[in-house]
Amino acid sequence: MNKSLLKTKIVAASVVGCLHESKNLPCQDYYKYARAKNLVAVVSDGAGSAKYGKIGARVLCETVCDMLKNAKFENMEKEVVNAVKTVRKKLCLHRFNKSKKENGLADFAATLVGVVYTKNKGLFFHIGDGAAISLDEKNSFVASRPENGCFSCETFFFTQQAWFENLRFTKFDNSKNIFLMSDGLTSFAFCSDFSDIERKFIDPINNFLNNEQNIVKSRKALVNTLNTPRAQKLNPDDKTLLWIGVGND
Amino acid sequence: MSFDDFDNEMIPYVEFADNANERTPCVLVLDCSGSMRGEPIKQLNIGLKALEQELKDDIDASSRVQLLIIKAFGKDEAEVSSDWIDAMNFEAPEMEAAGLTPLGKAMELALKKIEEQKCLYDSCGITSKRPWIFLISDGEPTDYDWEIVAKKCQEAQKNKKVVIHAVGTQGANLEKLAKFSLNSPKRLSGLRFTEFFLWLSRSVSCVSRAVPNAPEMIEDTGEWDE
Repeated sequence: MNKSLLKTKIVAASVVGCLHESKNLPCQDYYKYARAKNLVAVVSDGAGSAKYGKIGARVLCETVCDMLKNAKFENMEKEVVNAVKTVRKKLCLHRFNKSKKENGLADFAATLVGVVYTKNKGLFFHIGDGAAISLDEKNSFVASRPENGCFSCETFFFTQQAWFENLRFTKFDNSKNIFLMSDGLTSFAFCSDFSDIERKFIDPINNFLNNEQNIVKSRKALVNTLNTPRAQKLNPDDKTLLWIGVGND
Repeated sequence: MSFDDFDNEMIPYVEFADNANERTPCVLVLDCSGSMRGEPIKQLNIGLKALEQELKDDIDASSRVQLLIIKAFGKDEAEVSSDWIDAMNFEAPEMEAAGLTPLGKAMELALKKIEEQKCLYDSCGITSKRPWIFLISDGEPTDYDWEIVAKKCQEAQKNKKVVIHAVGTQGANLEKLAKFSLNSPKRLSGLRFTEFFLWLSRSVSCVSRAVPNAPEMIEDTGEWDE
């Protein structure tokens, strides 16, 4: 029997949190995805306290996507480490890094949550907060959860000296849908102790995006949903969601 | 089709459960008149700091209790010293003492702010416990129409819109303060504001955790009540 061709679909949206909006600041989140030999997607949350957090987030997303999209999946953990090292080197030389040294990286602080997926095998890579979720055919999930410091307001960034110790990998397979999200959404997507996902948040989004064929409509609906006054009131942080409907193309 | 064609498009049935913790709003109406100068206002400020810390240390209360502070002072003025804020983000304002004691005006502002906050909760689908107002004074109201407001306060309490507690320090006219509430006023022993605010934190925390329709649970007033 011929399997019908199901195309991989990606819908992503970032909305500015009311905290930044009230200060007239841009969204500090960034996302990027690429499809070649592998499907790669990355979401990064530039630290609000860092002068060039948004730049750090952008360089991180773009470089990681570029470097992983054709990498061998078998070596993927090493490839991720190399990609982060490359971003750090780039930012050492960035024109806004006056010191041209690693101690100038703090100004570009950002978190990292990403996925590489190919031939039914997936790998999440993660530094700091934000989260990634994979749902399979039976709707059971594998998650890469946020990691924070001693206090809830502290997290880890790829720019820190100890970034390697805070880089986490989670393997999964046979994914039907993948969610990557920034910190502004994790409290909606997980129950309070992060032991389970919040189905009342995840499932409606998943159902809608799986069924809606019009990508523009899907994206607008996602933006509007993340931007509702209730969502903004409950969590004033920037919010980014990158959703993937995994196909067999 | 362009992005703008879907301006009203939403994903249906998405629930934002996160902080939908039921809120327990609590208003402090503080007498900051001239007679509070010196040690009383100093102790009041120390007490407010203790309240801040105690609520922040309480995991449940810090996300469920919301605070608003109103001060009565000056030439019959009432103003918000700290607007509605979750206890986890509350920073005790530094109060200063000067002028008269317009408690009527301050209580009227408290009722208005509660009404507004209730509308906001409703629009966001957040459930809330019955709001508390604590009126704390070392004297008596000086604004000419305070009795009209006091009646409104009693009415609001009768209609179960709010719970009001009046607390007087030494020298406060408890008879007049009693008119703002259906509950008997309490007398603060000495200047035990810290003990009072710690008690308040425990009580409001207890209420915030209570199951719906549970009877109002007020902690034993212990050391601060005469």
